[in-house]
Amino acid sequence: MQVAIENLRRWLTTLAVAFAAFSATAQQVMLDVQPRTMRLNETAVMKLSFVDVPMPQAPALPEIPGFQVHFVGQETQFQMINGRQQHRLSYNFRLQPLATGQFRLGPFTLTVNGQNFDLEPVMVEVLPPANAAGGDGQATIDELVFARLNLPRTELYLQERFDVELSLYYRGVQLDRTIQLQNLPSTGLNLDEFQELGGSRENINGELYDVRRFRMRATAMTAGTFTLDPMVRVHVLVRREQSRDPFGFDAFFGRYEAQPLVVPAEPLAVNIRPLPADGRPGNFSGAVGQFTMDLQVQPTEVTVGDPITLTVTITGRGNLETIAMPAIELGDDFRRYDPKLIASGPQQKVFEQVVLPRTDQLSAVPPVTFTYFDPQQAAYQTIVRGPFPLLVKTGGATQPHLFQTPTVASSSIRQPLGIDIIGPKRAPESWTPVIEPGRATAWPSPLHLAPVAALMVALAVQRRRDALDRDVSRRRRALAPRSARAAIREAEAALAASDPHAFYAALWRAFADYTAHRANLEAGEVSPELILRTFAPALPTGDRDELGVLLAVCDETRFAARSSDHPDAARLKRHLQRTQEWLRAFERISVSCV
Amino acid sequence: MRVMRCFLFALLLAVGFPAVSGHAHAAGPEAEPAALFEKAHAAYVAADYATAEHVYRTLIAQGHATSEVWYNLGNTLFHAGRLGEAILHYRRAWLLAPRDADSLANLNLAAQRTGATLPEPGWWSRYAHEASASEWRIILLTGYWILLAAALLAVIAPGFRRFARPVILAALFTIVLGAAGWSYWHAWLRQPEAVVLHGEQTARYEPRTSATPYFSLPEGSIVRIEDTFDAWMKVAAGGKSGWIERSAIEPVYPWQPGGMR
Repeated sequence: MQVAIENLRRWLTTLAVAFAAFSATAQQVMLDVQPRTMRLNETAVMKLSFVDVPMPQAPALPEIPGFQVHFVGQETQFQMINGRQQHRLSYNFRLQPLATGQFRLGPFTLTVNGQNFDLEPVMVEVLPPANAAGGDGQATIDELVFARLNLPRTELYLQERFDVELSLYYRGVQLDRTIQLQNLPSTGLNLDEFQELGGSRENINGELYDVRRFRMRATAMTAGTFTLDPMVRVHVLVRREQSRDPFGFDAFFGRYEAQPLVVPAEPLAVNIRPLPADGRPGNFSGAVGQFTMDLQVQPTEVTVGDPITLTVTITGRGNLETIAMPAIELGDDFRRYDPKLIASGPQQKVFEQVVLPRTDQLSAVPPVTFTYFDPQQAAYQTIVRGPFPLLVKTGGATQPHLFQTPTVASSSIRQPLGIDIIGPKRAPESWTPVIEPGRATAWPSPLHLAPVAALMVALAVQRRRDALDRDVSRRRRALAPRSARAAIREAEAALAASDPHAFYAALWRAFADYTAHRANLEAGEVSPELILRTFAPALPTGDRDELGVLLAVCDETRFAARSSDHPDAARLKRHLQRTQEWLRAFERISVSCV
Repeated sequence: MRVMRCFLFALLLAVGFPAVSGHAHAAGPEAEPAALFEKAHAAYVAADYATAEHVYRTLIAQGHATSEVWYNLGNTLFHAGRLGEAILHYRRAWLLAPRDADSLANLNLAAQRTGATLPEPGWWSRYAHEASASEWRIILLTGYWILLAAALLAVIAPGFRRFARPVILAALFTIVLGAAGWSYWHAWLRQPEAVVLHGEQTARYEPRTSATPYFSLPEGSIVRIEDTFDAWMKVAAGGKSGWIERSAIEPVYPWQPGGMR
């Protein structure tokens, strides 16, 4: 195995030389093996990850005694972190163990572009195969699935924050992802939501268990003794014994069913003690944990009345949410504003207090005192920062020196983002004029009203069509001018052909079709008398007689034999013109008024 | 069918219309801006930042204020050591192309150098920043035209009515989506951002030089303009509001009066 490690070390060194040819800035290289505990007939995956390293070629691993190594593939991942793109390239290798025992891979030092990266050693344990280890055919469910509870200490103090860890061990059974914790204490302890930490494998008494770990943040709220006796409710996936459906449709709904199983964890008694009264400082305000305090005072040279900002940063683990601005004895020489909490995180709080000196007799900002109880030391601790020397001038117009208020946002953007900016961009593909975003309105052109107008017109046409479909007399009224125009066109053709017989027949059709549509009659029901009775009363007296004459001519010509006499073209033209005039006049006459 | 053809033509014309409507400067021949861009790029590569800046500004003055030009001008000013102005122009590039990660990354780096704080967008802002104001407007208008086209087709072509409902619902969804994004930018422009150009500036309680200083703004700080009074502007940053001299800052939105430099 030592030879294997040496070979691997040489391979990594060779790889480092190859990477040195690339000029990009390397950020991080990591080596990981999962799972780290396995049986001889199982495999693990070794992952070598390069974060922000230029794309290397696919590496070839040397022979590693004790393992067969096969290249599986590579993964590429892009992530945006604080607006900066992170590139992660990972090479995966399958490790097939050839012998049992404990193997230590690393530590290694990898050199990329002259920069050294220390790779943490990885311990890999290979166990004999399951059958060789004695088998588990006779194991009970308690041996196959069990839970363990873990606390850092069982003697705790009031208001102390601590972690409760729960580990679920299982082997030889399949569990689904759902899990519930039951029987948690409802008083004395304040438990946050539990979160899963990730999985691993462990060798317990020669048996290999899959382990799921969970953590809860807890706060001791009441003094006394409490028993943590949680029950873990899981679901074991069991293969259905046989199909309940004779047609086999059960197969569509899965061949496994989840059976609930409640797994008890070994109970743990927790003794919560009150905070000791002996040695409690007067300014103690309830902070319990381990903390540090940092204090900044700026500016330190001011004029009377100028603001001085005190920024207090408290960092640590404990009941941070209950901590307020530490006490400061300013006296009457300072005017003070209320302190403000300007940033808060899981392990940090930042307060800001602005004070203004009232007199130039001041030479220092008084010290700030913060007292907390350290449960590990079982003692009260006091942190004092200051006094800070101060120079106060009278009057004058000195420019006060302020400082940038630290905020959560500013701290996040001050993370390392890279060493240089991203290079210039190429020219746009086309140089179309740029739209001014603020000038353009949502409706910049009347053109956008066109579809509304088109829709309204379409709706009006549709409505009219529907109305005509419902009312026959109205539809025929609308058809009247069209039918008359068709007959007039025939009359014009007959006039051009010098055929008076066809001409007068067409004129008669014009009158007859028009009147039939207007009066909602059949064409055969129309007579010259009917036309005159319907329309003539509304015409001037002269026109009435002339219309009667024309209708009589039409009647005579239609029923008379065709003549070979040369027609009087001027007369025909006049009759055609008068017919058109009368038909236009008929349009203005209401049939109901006749 | 003639009505249909006219309508489709109008639809295509209108959807394409936003790309050419609104205020636009006169464009010169196609080769001219491209040649200027190449000239500026060559000067940038040769570390002649004064020439590069001059040529990029010429392009902007000619109306070719694309996000690429703003971004490259930001890079030029960054290398020239004028970080406040660089942040201003990165922000302008972001304004036209909010999905461009490069301008955001360079903006963050420049702000990190000056110690300036950047506004933290909320969930609503992050949604709206997925597209520029113009893009949201095109989405809105596209939904509008599809909605009316579907309604018109449903009226004049009864055979289309069975397809009309899903199309109209999709169009309404598009309209809501586009209107939400566009209204965000519309509100953004009503209370515009500005950038502290040079050095650390002091915001005061009142708009006069003898007023009590309130808080400081490092070069490149991005602030919101809340009010104006003579030569002073009331700006907000980090939850505080104070008065700062107008000459110390420049609005990010480059088309408003006094905005273009």
